[in-house]
Amino acid sequence: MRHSKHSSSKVKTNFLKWIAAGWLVFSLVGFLDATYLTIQHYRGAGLECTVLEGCETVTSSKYAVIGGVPLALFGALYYLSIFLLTAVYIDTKRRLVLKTTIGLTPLGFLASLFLIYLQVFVIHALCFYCLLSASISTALFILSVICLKIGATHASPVACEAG
Amino acid sequence: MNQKRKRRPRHAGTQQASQVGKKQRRQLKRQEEAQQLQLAEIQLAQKRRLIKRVAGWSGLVAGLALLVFALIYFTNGPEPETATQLTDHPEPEATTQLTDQIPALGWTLGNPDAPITLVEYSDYQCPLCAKYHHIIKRLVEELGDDFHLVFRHYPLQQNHANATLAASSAEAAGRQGKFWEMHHLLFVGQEEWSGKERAEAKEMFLHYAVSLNLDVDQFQRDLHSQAVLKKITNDSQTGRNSGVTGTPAFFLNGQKVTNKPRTYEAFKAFILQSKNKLP
Repeated sequence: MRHSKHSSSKVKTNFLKWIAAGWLVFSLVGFLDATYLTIQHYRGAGLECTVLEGCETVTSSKYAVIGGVPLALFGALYYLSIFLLTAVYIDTKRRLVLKTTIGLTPLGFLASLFLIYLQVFVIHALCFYCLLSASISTALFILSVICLKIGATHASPVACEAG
Repeated sequence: MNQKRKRRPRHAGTQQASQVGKKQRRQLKRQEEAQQLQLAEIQLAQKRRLIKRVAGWSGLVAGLALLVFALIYFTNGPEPETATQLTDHPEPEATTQLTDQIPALGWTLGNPDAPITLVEYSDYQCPLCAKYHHIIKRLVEELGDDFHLVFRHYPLQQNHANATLAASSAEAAGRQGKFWEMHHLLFVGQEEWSGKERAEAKEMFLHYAVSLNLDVDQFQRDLHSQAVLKKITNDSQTGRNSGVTGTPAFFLNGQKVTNKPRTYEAFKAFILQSKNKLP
């Protein structure tokens, strides 16, 4: 613990606990969401079109697959990585793990932005599961930003370092 | 030891020194024991922590695996089932007999007196509907007189900007006796017109009309007629009344198919199984 005020580091540790919990919950939901889409893809039948759930238009479009691998699978692996990294961090409290997690979230956020752009301007259809995924990756990213902010405001030498 | 000490009373100083040594030794021994105890406790705690960590991680991995399996199991559904009655009947009294439940509404294929009647609610811009189009087409061809298909429109206009226009095209072609031909072209060509702007999509539908040798002027008039639009909204309304929430939706002899069979073989087996259950 490099800074002097005990209370501030305690506040930080508490915040970090909440952020880690948030990462765990969001990445788990994201993982299930993306896994569901992956399962549907490999099952070949696709999703039913409903008013609420947007449609299969998105998941069956040519943009949903890269080199034969469904995008949803990449999504599932991404969320799984965030989930496991957070779990490893909670277990080991290693700073490097935390930094890796923080470094990954902008990738998911940017990918989601691009996919929303594709849905709105290219495919002209919205998919509920994809929007859910986009919201989750945005939430993960926001948590990272908050984490960095807390690190900065507490004048920590390493941003968002555990107390 | 005591005897030895008694024999040497003169060396009182030495005795004292040895007593101090003894005390120290005892103290040392006690300290050593305490340290060993502490060490054992630490080792035990470490062991416990390790077990806890291993258990935690195993639980986490097992939990994730369980969730994925649950997802696979519950989204698949072991068997196709029928549930939820087709509630929309043109004649409300015709509720007792299954075959009477199918209103004359909709485009039909196959034998009207067949033991099996399948009502399909579909959207030309829905990709899953396009996949099912091929399954249903094969069923009609291969089940022959045992099968009767009723097709109704259920365009999800909120998600599919060209869905109603496509349905209107099929209806307009139907007024010139080419409903099923247009129906097929719309599903087969779905990927081409699905993402297009309305004007471009309409252009493609006109091309289809030309390729079917339709009177294009008449086709255009019908495409935008109120009667055609009313037919489509009427179809959708019967679907909503029967609890259709998405497309494609199927009703087998008036019962909603809740877990749609995903392949032609599965669908055929499901239909034959239902036929065998009939009295």
